Amino acid sequence: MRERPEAPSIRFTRRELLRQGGIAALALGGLPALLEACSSSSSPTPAGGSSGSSAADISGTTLDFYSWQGYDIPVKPIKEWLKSNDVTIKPSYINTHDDITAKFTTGGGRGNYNLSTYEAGWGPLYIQLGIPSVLDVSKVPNFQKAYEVFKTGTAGKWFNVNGNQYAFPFTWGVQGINYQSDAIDAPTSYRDLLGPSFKNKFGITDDPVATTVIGAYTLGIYRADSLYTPDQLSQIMSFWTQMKGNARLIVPSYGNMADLLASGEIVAGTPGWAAVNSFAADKGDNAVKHTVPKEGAATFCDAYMIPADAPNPDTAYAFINEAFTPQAQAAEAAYLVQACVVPDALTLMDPATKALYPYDQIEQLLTTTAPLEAIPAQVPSGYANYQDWVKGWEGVKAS
Amino acid sequence: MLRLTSPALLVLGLALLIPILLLLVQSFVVSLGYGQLQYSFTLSNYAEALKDPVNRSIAIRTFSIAAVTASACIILGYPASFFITFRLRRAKNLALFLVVVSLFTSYLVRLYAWYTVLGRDGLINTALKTLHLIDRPISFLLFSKWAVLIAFVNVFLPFTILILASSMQSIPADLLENSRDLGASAVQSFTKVVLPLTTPGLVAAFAYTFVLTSGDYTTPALLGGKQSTTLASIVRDQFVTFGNQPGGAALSFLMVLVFAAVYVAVSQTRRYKGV
Repeated sequence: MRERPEAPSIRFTRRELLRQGGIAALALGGLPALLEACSSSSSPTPAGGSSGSSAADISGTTLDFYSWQGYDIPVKPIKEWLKSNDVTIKPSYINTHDDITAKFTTGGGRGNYNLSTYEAGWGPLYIQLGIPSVLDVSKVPNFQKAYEVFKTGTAGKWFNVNGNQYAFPFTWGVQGINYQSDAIDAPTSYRDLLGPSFKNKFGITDDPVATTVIGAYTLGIYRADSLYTPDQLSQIMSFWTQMKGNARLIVPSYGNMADLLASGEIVAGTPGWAAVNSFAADKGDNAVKHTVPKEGAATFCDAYMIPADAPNPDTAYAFINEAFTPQAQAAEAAYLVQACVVPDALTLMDPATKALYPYDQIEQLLTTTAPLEAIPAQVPSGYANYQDWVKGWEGVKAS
Repeated sequence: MLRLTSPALLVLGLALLIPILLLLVQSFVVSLGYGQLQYSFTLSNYAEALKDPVNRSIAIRTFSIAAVTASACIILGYPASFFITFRLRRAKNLALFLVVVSLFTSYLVRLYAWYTVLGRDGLINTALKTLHLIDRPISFLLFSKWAVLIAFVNVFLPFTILILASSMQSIPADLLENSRDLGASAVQSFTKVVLPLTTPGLVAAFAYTFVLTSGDYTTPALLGGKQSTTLASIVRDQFVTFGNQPGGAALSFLMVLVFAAVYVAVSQTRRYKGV
């Protein structure tokens, strides 16, 4: 997921006694592994822990998790796994991907979390900043069940860099337009929203990355490497300024978009996200849908990473491995309204969830139709970088 | 006395002054991006913050809405405080308690509550439709600068009333009686006694509301519609999105300078000795 600014939310489910037990167990039995984990931050060796995900004693440990709400996947298979392994998950949720860079570079996150995520395009920046540890693929045997495109294909290259596996991609999706199907037909183009029938009736999500990508698609200048000249970026932002002129509001978060669609304040919102359908359904509105216009859509692929200096990598490895079981993947796809990465999960999905994404064309989709985009953290001279994107978006909002 | 106050001074020093001083130092160092700093002196963070046209237009928007909010709170809060302080006798404490009670509700809940008042199917549109005054819901009520202003006043008016009421309660009752005994009219008593003696409270209430409104980005984000960006969100972008603490710190201290200038300006009203 690119940007998903939700209201800050932190759930504390710490079972301190169990945690202390876990620390004691680690101190007695896992100290060498812990030391190995700590050392992994400075050298490209796999994050520590006992060898083999099933061999490690993770009973009574805590999984300190820092990522999007929902990526702790509170679905039945995972809940049962947590309970049977006596693992407590302690999630803290982010509002944007920037929260991860801020937390692990300056915000005191390093050494305090054993599980986080990164989206494909953010990977190079995270790796450059030393945020993820190098992972031991042998500890996540279920990852071998994933589509090849996520392991060695065009999607996999974002997570396996120079032979080092930094993260395990577990979900993906697209961001087009959410709309209220009771009120309007599905928009077929982003430019539809510029028409008089949408005047003051749609919202634009405050998401500088997805807006830039969608703007590039709409203007026919999309590049998967995200290398846009300042002039091209200016064209993209001019497009959004025009869109803003016809919009009703800048929507601060995708959760807020669900509220606005469900309450009838807007009939459409872009950049959208299929999970907004789910959020709106939770509020009793089953008519909110997501569509991919003809120009294309921003594509994302999120992956679990174990941050450098993670205090308890064994639990993280075991959790990740469980997240790749077909049962967890199927439940997660339904819960997040996102695509799964394990083909065996398809037979366990309900037809509606399965029909949301073109699994039979997954290779083509992620390679040519809607490839994953880079975040331009560092760009050659003459191109706009990520800061330019954000500044451009701020300019749109200020206009 | 020093023994009694030293714990408070210690807490203030540790929890307030030290972080601010660190931030001030940081505003003069070089950012290499994403939290990386180079400790060499530079004024470029301030220069870049000042020359950015987006910052300037957002600053004008932010401080304008803050000034209007603070003024509206004073205009509404002063008579309310006067009434509570000088007209209510037994009910004075109850009235002040009710003002405080209004602060018990979560800030976010109060903001979302405006959706149910100003929204397409909100109270106002429903009432207007029921009265056959409109055919279609009015959409400009919500997601506008007016919605932001209304919400800001709703949030900060109780603070203004409490500050002003506190200021008025310090005026001895016999002072007003004496002025009337010496032949002053009710208006003269107000302009020559009450108003001059409450100028410190007015200054404090205005400055307090102005500062808090300027630093708020939740209300404009939720209710501001297309004009939802404020300086606080730009500062947030500097710290979180760019990992540029020096840039964010410089922008923050420029805001502090504006606050100080506004405080000095409104403090001139303390010279007011009555008309």
